[in-house]
Amino acid sequence: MNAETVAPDASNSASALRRRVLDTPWLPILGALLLMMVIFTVANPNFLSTKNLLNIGADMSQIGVMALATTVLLIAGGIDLSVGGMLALSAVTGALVFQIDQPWALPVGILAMLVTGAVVGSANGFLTVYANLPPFVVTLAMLGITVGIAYQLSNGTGISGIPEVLSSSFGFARPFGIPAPVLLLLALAAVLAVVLSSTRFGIRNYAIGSNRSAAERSGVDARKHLVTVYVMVGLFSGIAAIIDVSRFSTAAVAAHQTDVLAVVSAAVIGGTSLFGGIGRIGGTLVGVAIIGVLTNGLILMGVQPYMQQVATGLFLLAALLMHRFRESRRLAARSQVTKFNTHN
Amino acid sequence: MIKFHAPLALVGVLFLAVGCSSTEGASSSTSDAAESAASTETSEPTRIAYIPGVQGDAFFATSVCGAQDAAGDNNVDLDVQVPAEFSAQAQVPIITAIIASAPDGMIVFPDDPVGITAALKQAQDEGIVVHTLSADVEDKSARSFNLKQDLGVGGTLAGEEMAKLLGDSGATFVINVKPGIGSTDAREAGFRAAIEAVPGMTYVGQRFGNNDPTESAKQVTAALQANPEIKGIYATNLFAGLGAITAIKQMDLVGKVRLILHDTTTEEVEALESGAVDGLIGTNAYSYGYSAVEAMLQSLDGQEPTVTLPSEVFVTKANLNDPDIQAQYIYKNACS
Repeated sequence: MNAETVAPDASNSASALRRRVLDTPWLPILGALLLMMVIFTVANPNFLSTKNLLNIGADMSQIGVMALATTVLLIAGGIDLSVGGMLALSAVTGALVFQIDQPWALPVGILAMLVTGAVVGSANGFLTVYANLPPFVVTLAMLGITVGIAYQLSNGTGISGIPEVLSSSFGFARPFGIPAPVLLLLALAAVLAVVLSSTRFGIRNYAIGSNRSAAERSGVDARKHLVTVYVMVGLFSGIAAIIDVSRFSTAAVAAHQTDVLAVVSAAVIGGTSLFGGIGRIGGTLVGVAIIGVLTNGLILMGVQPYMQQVATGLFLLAALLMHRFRESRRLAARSQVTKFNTHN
Repeated sequence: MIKFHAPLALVGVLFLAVGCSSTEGASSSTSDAAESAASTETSEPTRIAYIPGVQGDAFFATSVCGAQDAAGDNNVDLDVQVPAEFSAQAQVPIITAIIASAPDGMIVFPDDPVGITAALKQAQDEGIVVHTLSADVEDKSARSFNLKQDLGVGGTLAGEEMAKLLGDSGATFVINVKPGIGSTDAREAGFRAAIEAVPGMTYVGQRFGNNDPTESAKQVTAALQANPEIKGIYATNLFAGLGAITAIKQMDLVGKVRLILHDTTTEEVEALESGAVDGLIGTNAYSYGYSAVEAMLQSLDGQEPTVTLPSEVFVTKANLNDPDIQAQYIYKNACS
């Protein structure tokens, strides 16, 4: 529901199809994912086993949840580098509540994780939007602050003592044979996809990211909207924290300081623009899958760990270059259409 | 159209590139194995995966050298996969991928006593024999064997050697890493016990440098200001040690305050040679890797592993160049 409906002229079906393809930058990325899976399967048929694919999904579920919210924020023209810090702080807060030997500790602990994420997210939102500070710097500072507080609260170590019921009924539960964290990721993705494509909130989100001043002139309260999206990113980091403690039975701070790399990479590989206005939830899911499949498949092929990091980095760069190239083609195509209309 | 093929082409290039690197690693171990294991030349190699704690760590890098040599000596196809960071979150995806590659055995240095349990159990469910190395998981049913060394022994050795250096009289101090790390906490406890066992020696206490040389230097400086009677310092790892060296130099106390560092990285050996440090506690990291593969082979043969790990040694300028010390106890940046 972004440029496709806003841009003029869809009468010429050939040009419409061309624009449609150009507007769906994650299609070739999906092709790359499938090709990658074919190659990994040829190299080691165990790659394609249901168990392995479900394991990859479970391993990527936290990154995926944060990448979904990050996609919405990037489309709106913001960025949040503190997702890993919010996850770590939320996990530690929840784990500390779980240490209290009371029946209410479980629900309150879960709530504490969500609230912690949302509170930090709102701080990010107010500082960037109302204090008019650059989000890159604000959220980088917030990464340091959240990680520091999380270390302080946990005395620098992991906090165990996570209720067993969290892992048995969520972290390692498999309703319909699918890991529960993967189902949660897919459910959140479905909700956000509908919100982005079919609600006023979604249309505003694209409009603000494409041209904030134009959106504001047409009566959209961009500030309020952006703060809401930052809060949502914090909330989703809190959800990722719930998945994290449920799967690892420990709240570990060190593990999440570089999460933001995978989160932003997934969104960008999936075709979300770092400059706002462009992006799809489906694309981000493909981006998340690519990162998970690449890591798993390269290990299966016995590739040395350092080369895996190189491979992921190269893939991100190539995806960026491709999206940049396609974007310039798209803009050129649009300006030709406009010219054509003007001449008529 | 080019734009459609860009990511596809990249996939191809990536596989060419990593394909070269992977065949290089894998074939070298199998060909080494084929050369040296003449008696078992015709049999299929045993497939073992080794997952150390973290990348960029001299201890683990040296243990990999030992594991590779053991693989070469025993017709083992060894797959080494190292997590990018020291956490269950980084280690579990590696374990799950290794499960899919279905090796006969898996040796893991656990990055978390709880967080990797479910993944290890999944590996066991798939028929993979799981051993833990050095550290262990809380749920002992998640592995069939733990090859370990008493973690406090190195600290005890440091305490005993410190007492000798100071002539059984003087105040001592520990610059530690972070609270809650099993190995370094045990070193501090071992050191403290050894010092307190000597009547003329006293123990001032410990401070934490957060695994950072700069922070460690600050902490040591502050401790020496507050307790000028300190005559001996034990640093429980490389970064704590680098900080202690800096602090002692900037306070002009070289030779007046004796210093023992844990581990034998290149930086620490250089400090020993330059006289900034009196001694190093050397761990036989090479044999951790070598023995881990041997223990796994015993398990896969249906035996109870009988392999043990050698204890730490005190490395000084005097014995630094002994061939045994050089071959076994000095950490390596690359396998020979």
